[in-house]
Parts: sequence; C-alpha cells; structure tokens
Amino acid sequence: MSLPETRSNAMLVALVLICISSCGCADTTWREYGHDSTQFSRQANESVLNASTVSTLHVIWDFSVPGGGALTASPSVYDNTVYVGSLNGHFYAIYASGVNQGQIRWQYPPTVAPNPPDACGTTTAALLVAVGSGNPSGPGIASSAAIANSVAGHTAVIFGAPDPSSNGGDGRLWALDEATGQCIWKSAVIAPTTGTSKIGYSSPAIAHGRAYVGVSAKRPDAPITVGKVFAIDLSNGTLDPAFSFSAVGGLAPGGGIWSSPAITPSGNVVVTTGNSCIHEGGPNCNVIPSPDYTNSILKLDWHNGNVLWQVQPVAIQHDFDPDFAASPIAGQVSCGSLAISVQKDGYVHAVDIKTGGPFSNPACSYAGHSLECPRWSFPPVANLPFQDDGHGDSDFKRQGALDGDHLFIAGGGLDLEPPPGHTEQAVFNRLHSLNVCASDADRVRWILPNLAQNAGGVSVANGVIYLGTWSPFDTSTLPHHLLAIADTDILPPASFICSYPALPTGFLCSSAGFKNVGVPVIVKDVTLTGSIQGIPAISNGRVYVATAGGHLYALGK
Amino acid sequence: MTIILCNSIWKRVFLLAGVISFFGVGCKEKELEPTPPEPARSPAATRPAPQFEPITGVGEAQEAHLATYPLPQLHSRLEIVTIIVQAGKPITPPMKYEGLMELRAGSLATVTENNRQTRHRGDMWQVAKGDRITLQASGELAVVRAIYLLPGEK
Repeated sequence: MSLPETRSNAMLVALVLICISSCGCADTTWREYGHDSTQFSRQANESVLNASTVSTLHVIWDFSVPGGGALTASPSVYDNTVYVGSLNGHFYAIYASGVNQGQIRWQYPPTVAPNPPDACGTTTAALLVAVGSGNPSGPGIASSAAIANSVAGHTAVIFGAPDPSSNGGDGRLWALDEATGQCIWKSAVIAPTTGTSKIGYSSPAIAHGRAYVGVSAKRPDAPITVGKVFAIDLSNGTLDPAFSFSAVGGLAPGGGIWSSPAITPSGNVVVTTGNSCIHEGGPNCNVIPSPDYTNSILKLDWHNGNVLWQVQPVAIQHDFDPDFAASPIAGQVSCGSLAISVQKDGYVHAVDIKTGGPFSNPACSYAGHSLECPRWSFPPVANLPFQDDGHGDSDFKRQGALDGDHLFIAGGGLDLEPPPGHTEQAVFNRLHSLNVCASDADRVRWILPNLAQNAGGVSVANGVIYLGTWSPFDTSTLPHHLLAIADTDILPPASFICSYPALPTGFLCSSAGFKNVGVPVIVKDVTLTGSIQGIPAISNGRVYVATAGGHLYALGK
Repeated sequence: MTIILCNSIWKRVFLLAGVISFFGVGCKEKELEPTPPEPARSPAATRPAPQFEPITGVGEAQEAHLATYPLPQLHSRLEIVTIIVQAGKPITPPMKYEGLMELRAGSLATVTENNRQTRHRGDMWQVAKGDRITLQASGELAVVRAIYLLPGEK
C-alpha cells in the first residue's frame, strides 16, 4: 500500500468516525409535545444551559398574543421558529432568535386570505368551535404542534384544530408549511360538531408516515364522548381506514383521549384514556361498556389499533373521575422499555411495553376485564385494580420528564392518602424524582416539596429540570413561576426530607422504613404571567414557555 | 491499471464495511421491547360494587350504604354511607343525625347559610342533626363519605 493510499484510507476512516460520532448530535429542535414521540421531554443536545449557566436565566423576549388568547398548548421549536396555537383560534410561528426574535414569522389563518384560494379553502376566520366548547381545551387550538418532514414535499407543522368553514368547527388535523404557513392539507373530519367530541389537548404523534391523534369531549364531560384514536396519512390528510380504536364498545360512552399518544421503540402506539360516565349520569351510563378501555394506559398495534395490553388501575365500578389526563412516556430505560403515566388521583404507573401481545395477568384482572399489571406503581400498591371510593380528580394532570432512568413528575407521593385533617394540597405542590428501574424501597431519588403553587409540566436538559407551576382551568394573568432545578447528581441537595414527607427526617424516618432523600437546589425562579399548562421546550440555549395568560416567553442566560 | 484501481476500491470498501460493522456490533443485540415474566402478584379479592340509590327528595344525588357498626356501650351505631355529588347539581341532603363527613374524591364546596367553604380531598367536617348544608361539586364529580351516629344498636 503506497503512502498516498494509506493517507487516503486514514482520511476515509476519520471521515466515517466523525460521521458516526456526530450523526444526530446536533439536532437541537423540539419537534413535538414532549420533545419527540417518546415524550421524554428531554433535550439531549443542549450545549448552553446547564446548572452553572442557568442561574442567570431571564426573559429574553415576551410575545403577547395580539388581542389576548390563552396558550394552553406547548411550544414546538424548529428552523429558528417557535410554533404554538392559541385558544383564540390562531396559530403562531414566532422567530426564536436573531433580529426578528419574538416577532411573528407567520400566523394562521393569515390576515389576508390567499388568492387564488389554497387547497384548504383558507379564509381569515379563526379556528374555533362556534358553540358548545368548554374548559381550556377549547374553543380554539389546545393541540400542540408536531413537525414532520416529507409531507407532500414540505416540512410541515401539524396540529389539531376546529375548521370554521365546516359545520361551525368540525375538528381536523392541519398541515402547514413550516416556513410560510401555507396550508398543505386539512385532514378528513375526525371530530364532527354534530357529535360530542373535539380535538382538545391531544397532539399528533408522528410515525410510519402517519399522525396519531385522539379526541375528547367537546364540553367536558357534558356530555361525555367516546374516546377514539385516528391515524392520518401524512401525504394527503386522509384517514387510514385500517386503523381503528374506540375506548368503549356498546352504547355507553367514555374514555376520552385528553392526552397525546406516544410511540414505542418498535413503533406501536401508547395512549391514556379518560373516565367513563358510570357515576355521572346520562344515556346508557348505567351499563358497563364492553370492551371497556376507560381510565387506562393502553398499547395499540400501530397497524390497526388492536389493543395489545391494558392497565386499568381503578375498577370501573369505582370510577369517580380519575382519568389519565397526563400523556404517557414510552421508551427504553436501563431495565427494559416502559410506558409511564400519572392518573388524576396521583398514582404513577409504569408498564413493561413488551413485544407482541395481547397480554394480560389474572392478578390485575376482574370480571369482564382482562388487564395487565404494571411493573410498578408509585406509591406502591399491593393489589390492583383499586376498589374504593378514593380515586377521583385530584388534578394530577401533567406528565413527567425522563432522563435515563430518572423520572421527574408531579405525582402524589408516599403520603398520597392525606392523613385525617390534612388536605391533598400538601401533596400536589411537590415534584418527585423517581428511579424507574429501582426497587420500590429505593424508588424516590429526591423530593422538591412545598412549592407555592401546583407542580405542572416538566422538561430536562443537562441535569437541569424546568418546571412550570400551574392552576387547572386558570386562564387569568395571575403570576406563576418557571423553576430551574438542579438534579442532585449535579448539585448537592439543599437539605433533606423523609421520602414519606409527613415524617421528620432522621431516625424516625429510617426506622419507619422510609429514606432520607435530598431536596434539590432551585437554581433560578422566574416569575411569568399566567398558568404554565404545557411543557417548557428547550432548544439552543433557550427555554420557551407558553402561558394560559396569553404569553410566549423565551428565556436564556 | 484497472486491476490496481479495483483492488484499491475494494480495499476501501472492505475497510469501510469493517469500521461500520465494528460500531454496529452491540447496537443490534439490545432488544427494543423486552418481555419480562409476568410479576407474581396475589389477585385482589373482588369486592361487591357499592349499590348506589337516589337520595329521596334530593335531586339527582346518589348514596350507597357501606356498613353499620354497633356501639353497644353507647346504645348507638355508626352508619357509613358514600354520597356522590354531580357537577352542577348542588344538593342539600337531610341531616337526620349528627356525624362526620370526609371528601374522598374530587373537590367540593359546602354552603351553610352565608358561609361557603371550599373542601379538598381529605378534608373532614362535622355535621349536626338538622343542619342545612348544601354540597356543590367543583369538578365533574365529588365523593363524600358520611359517618352518622344513630341511636340504637340496630
């Protein structure tokens, strides 16, 4: 081998090594609700913000929605642009950085209707349900946007919203060109206004050339709807006729999809569902549906929507509204692949995703229900399903973030059942870090207790956890907080607390079988206007936060 | 010349394939979604579901009688009842006996004359015979556990 040839070979090897080591590492986008379709809410490629630099976190720019309009969706970030829809029926693309940062790049619908008309029949009318929509999942856009490539030759922003030109707001998915806002297609109707459903908070999960999205009640829950998941072909917006999932069978409605589907490592779909109407009254509500997929975490076959397993922690006879409002997290950890979510009653459940199915376990099943057992629940549970009256709406509605085996989530905690005379307020204003692969005894890594407000959506990068505080259903301009918290692996804890927080730290805690765990350092506390209902998006040294008070903030060092 | 060139290209191709396969080893062996054995759990004993009945004369509210505990030394008994209060349908159940109420699920406001109090899960409050207390669910549904003290052991 000659010297030039050796040199040439060495260069080739070096090139390959550079490619292998750098492929994908530079992607700092935040493409979907929860960052990507795993919904880990983790930015793996953040190079600016860390425990040292985040101490100077401050508001770089503040986009105030023109004319007002709550932002209950979460921001997505791509191509130096932050994308978010408003309950006022407008979707905004805002420059992330540069001379135009904080300014509108485009909005949809546009201020002037396209001439000639586009493929969507776009007008200037806001994307609103005209009548009959309730709570901050309507009447406009509550669905967070997903960025998808190769959508009829475009890179597209895709979200769910009402169509004002179709029966007063039939719910569809919309695909807009990410750079121009031009409408590429609007999907077939998936939530007709003649029915009881709308596309609420559910945000599309992108996989297999499809967008998977769910529908929930138009006016929650009066009347309750039938939860459904749809698969929409990204090339043209048509429904995939082979995919079908309804949360209930028979005449009784229930099981609305308030959350966003997640995609498992092998490409299947995990969804969480809402409550039945068995104790809420209404037509056919005295009948237990069959099948009954309400109040559940489910793994669906991505091809056809068939159920591969179901975890229903609360038996339907004891359904007092403990929906899964939080989305699932689904993906690989060191001990396998898990799907994780928190129910409104404050219990966190983690389920082995598994290959194949259908799976069920008699230990967690009951009459008419073949159910799977979770790998673990937090707080630990000896037997499932629950069969008592203590499982209702306690406002645990925000999903967590996952970094390796470390979960950060506003769950109820070991003292979830409030002792007599103590209200539950004392447990949902705290953030837990859990080790998802540890034993029950070692589950709690740290606890951040006694927040001034409720713990909401979480995201993570470089061991810094970004937590928004929130008030359910609150679209006022009252102040809330974005906290930057240092994981205790990064900075030593500020103090210690018993993993059962009602007990004092020290010997009393350990002798009762609990652990003294750290209280992490809050490195920065930034006051913002409005409840932070969504997930802070981390991208390129910035944290983007949307508030129900009508502000989109960019924070940086 | 052609043979030399081909040799050179093939060497590079093999070298490239070797490097790629070296870095590929290990990635393929990790199963994406491993299926561990089912956890060994003892099945939950199926409890009878509570039988809810409309509360006579109190709108659409429902109650279920859960249990009775005799208190022989007091010549009285405890009646345990679960009450469901639905959204937008405040109720004023008759307080025939004194007792204790606890909010078990959901959120609720209690209204007595001009006093309105927001209750959270776990809150308890005492009721006296003859009280007029209106219960109003703040969310979709609220569940109240009532423990009444009644005269007589049966």
